[in-house]
Amino acid sequence: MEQRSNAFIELASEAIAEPEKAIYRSALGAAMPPLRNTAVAQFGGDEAFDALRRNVRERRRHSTAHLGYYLEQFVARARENGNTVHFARSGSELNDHVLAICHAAKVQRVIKGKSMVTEETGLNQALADAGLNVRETDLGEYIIQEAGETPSHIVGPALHKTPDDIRQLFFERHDLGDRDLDRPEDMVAEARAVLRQEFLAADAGIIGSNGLIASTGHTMLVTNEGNGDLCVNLPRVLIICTTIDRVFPRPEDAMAMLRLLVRSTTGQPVTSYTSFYQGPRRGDDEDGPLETHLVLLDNGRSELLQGPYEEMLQCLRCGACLNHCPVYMNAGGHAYGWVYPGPMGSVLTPLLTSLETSAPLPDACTGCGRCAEVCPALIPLPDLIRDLRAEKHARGVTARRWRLGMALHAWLARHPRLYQHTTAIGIWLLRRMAGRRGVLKRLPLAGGWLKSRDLPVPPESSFLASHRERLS
Amino acid sequence: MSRESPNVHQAENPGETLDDAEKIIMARLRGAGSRDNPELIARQLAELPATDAAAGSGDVVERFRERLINSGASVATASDRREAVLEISRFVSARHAQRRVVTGHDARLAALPWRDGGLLPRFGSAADGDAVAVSWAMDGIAETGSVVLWLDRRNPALNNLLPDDQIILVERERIQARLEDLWHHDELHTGHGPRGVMMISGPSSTADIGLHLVKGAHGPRALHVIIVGETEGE
Repeated sequence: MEQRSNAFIELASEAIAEPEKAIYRSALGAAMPPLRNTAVAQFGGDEAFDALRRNVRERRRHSTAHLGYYLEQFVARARENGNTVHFARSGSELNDHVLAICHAAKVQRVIKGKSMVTEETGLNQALADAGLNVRETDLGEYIIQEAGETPSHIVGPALHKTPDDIRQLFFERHDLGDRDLDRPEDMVAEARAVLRQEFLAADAGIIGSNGLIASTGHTMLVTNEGNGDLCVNLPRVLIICTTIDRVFPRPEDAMAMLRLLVRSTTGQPVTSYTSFYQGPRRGDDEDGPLETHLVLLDNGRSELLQGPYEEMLQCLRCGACLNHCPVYMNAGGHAYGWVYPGPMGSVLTPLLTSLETSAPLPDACTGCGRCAEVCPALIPLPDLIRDLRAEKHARGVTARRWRLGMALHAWLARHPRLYQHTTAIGIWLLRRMAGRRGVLKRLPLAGGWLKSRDLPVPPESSFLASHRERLS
Repeated sequence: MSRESPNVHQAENPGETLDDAEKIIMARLRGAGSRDNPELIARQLAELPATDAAAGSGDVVERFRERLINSGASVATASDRREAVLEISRFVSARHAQRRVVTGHDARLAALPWRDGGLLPRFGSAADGDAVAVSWAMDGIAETGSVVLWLDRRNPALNNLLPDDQIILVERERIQARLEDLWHHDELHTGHGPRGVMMISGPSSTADIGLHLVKGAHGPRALHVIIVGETEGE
């Protein structure tokens, strides 16, 4: 996927200027936190939820510490089970593998389940460029594919579109004559009917995976729609695209993670379908794929091992940090300019691409800490974001005027007398400008900031000055 | 952190690229890991604390029922096979104008007295247009309100996905407490069992349009679970 992360400010400003779409973002903001509370209650309260988070973190840390060992075990089991396993260092290598598989098996029509990994590698474009017919089947992914857009949320890719947008889109894209599409139920039924034909005609299915089990060679798939399972079981060729960091030692470790994943994603205790696939059709099976492939992508992940950002490998891709992030809620997912938005995206994008091409992302954070509070994997997201800011500053990626401003502030802060003197002048000036109104509505250089808020007038003397007065 | 992505494209021999990538990635992972001593790793793994989360309390069957209903399924009980057939018949009559159902090659399903319910079973894999599938679950999971189906000849995967409605029978004594319990079968650990396991917990659903929950996305629009077996104390 083409990266536009450096345009974060412009993209976010555009999103904020579209209040009709902001309603959908705020609906998400209103819906998700109560769902989380329900989920926490299902565990028996915050204490039990925390105990499970810590338990799963231990399991994930163990898996990550011995990733080479467990991945080798998984790959050996997967091959014994009749799968062909491929490794890809980069996104383009993953796309090349998939193309080669499709070419060898004479695949023309591909159906896809939701996969952030293939968004990362831009697989759809690569397949389309090679003349293949690719159809996304997750309803949200289908909607944005038809609209020619990219996902705005890692779980609900089309949540930026209103039901009206989608109705209009279906009228334009489906040549089905006059009909009623008033209710979401009508639109879902129409998409189901249209996509059912695509499912039946497909030669290959491509899906992602929520986890790999080393001891058995199973891949785990978690969905509500059932589209991912149709992608697995209908076409003759199955290709599972996932990353090297998704390995769990045993089924019980994957089950512990599953509890956290689903409740953090949608607030459900479990999704409608949770499947574990081991390989192609066996013995006298009447259905199932005839050949199955696993493509394991690295794309920078192995470089995070044992580094300062290793904890990011624990991310379950549940989307909870997005749902609770005030910046994401206002800026929307597209502002982040790549595959992964929100707090997890602000960390992951610079790590998987580069700080240079995603410089504004570590700054897209108010430090409020809600993401860390809700993260089922206990990733200290605000800390990682702060570390990326420091790295950005140290490496000179930060804009010159910001570095100059920071340097000036640092110098001032080291000279307390001068600092106090300067703030006293500032207070005097602001109070004069405000006159009797008590608030400032305009200020040079702060037009953007004051557009949606007023600046209260500072009190007569600074905290330090009044503190000193009280002491004397 | 900024990396040149290695410019490796499919060469004449695709196998060569594949091997290279595997060797390079595995070498990097092994280099990053502590010396991978299998005995030590196994000991550490065994020492990881178990989770007692979500074990729940009270009657497992009641919990199983509640959770399934919560997820949008309907649940009935039948004390024996004949009652199960009558329950299937009631469900089919209420929702469809025909009496055909599709089921896998499962001896327990074949032995049901289908005629007592006036039903016409077809044994095999479901096709587009099948209205109702009937399946027999391996286990039930109370923690999440799920039924577990092994994907083999007895339960073709498409029977869980293509029909409009799905009816799943589960024996009362097969209802287990926790998610981990679905793995308590040796076959699932050997590679000689079913090619897949599906845990079904409700009808297919989506909230992708305006966060509005709709049942019947790509799979069945309705899920009806029948708990088969004598209730305790009867």
